[in-house]
Amino acid sequence: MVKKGQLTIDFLFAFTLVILTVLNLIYLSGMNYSHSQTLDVSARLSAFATDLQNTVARVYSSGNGYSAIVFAPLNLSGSDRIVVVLDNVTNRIVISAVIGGSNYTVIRKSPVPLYVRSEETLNATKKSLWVVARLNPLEGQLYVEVKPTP
Amino acid sequence: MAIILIGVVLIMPYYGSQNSAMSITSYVRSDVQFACSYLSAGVMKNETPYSYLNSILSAYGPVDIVFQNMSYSSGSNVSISVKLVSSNWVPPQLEREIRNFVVSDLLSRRILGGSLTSPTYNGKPFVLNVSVVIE
Repeated sequence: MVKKGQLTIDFLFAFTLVILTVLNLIYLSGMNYSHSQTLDVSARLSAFATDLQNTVARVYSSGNGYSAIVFAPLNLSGSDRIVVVLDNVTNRIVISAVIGGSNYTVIRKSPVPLYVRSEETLNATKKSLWVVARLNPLEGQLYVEVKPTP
Repeated sequence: MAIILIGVVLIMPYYGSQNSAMSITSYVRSDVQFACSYLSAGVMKNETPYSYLNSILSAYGPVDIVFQNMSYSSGSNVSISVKLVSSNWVPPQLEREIRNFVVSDLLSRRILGGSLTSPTYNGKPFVLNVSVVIE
């Protein structure tokens, strides 16, 4: 006799199967969520690296005294920071970032020669940097540097 | 009552195997697609499972690669083959590093058991083949 409010055994079995599938889906969506968070930060940093690459080329070709501002690609808060290094030894633009406790690194080739190493850090209070071209009168070379001011 | 129990006994193993086949393919697909996007973005995240992909990025820079299809077969072992497509030259160790990334990521999520060289899924040996085709 089936009374009102009584669960039948076949319903319980069916329910177990549904729960199994739902738990699987929850676990899968958690994995996808963490992947897309990583990809979000990666894509922004990648765009930032390309922007910086283009800016370095533009400032170099514009010549002595030209400077351009570059803004942080995402909202930095707390202990987040982005360190931009123009490395003259390997002629590369190296961006190392700490976002939400994870370390990210982007390495791009510099399209123009870098004769001097310069480094600048962006953080929660400092959200932009300048790319500056400066002629070294002794060597006659155009230095492209990252600086806090133009 | 007996009919219900016989039904359960008949359905449960089938349902279980379908469920596990579905989950492992979803996990592998999700991880492989992530690896492709990660390699295209060219941004290195300095954490454990990513170190396999980072070794490629630091040596060769971003790699343009897309997921094409995958196949699943199950017998004495669980075997998944993934096919990826690129239009450019790809580093020779790319296939191995993507495979290592996926397996170590699934090991760290406790979906696979065993070790990196001989992983197991539900007690069966798990084989993952990654191949990259240039088109």
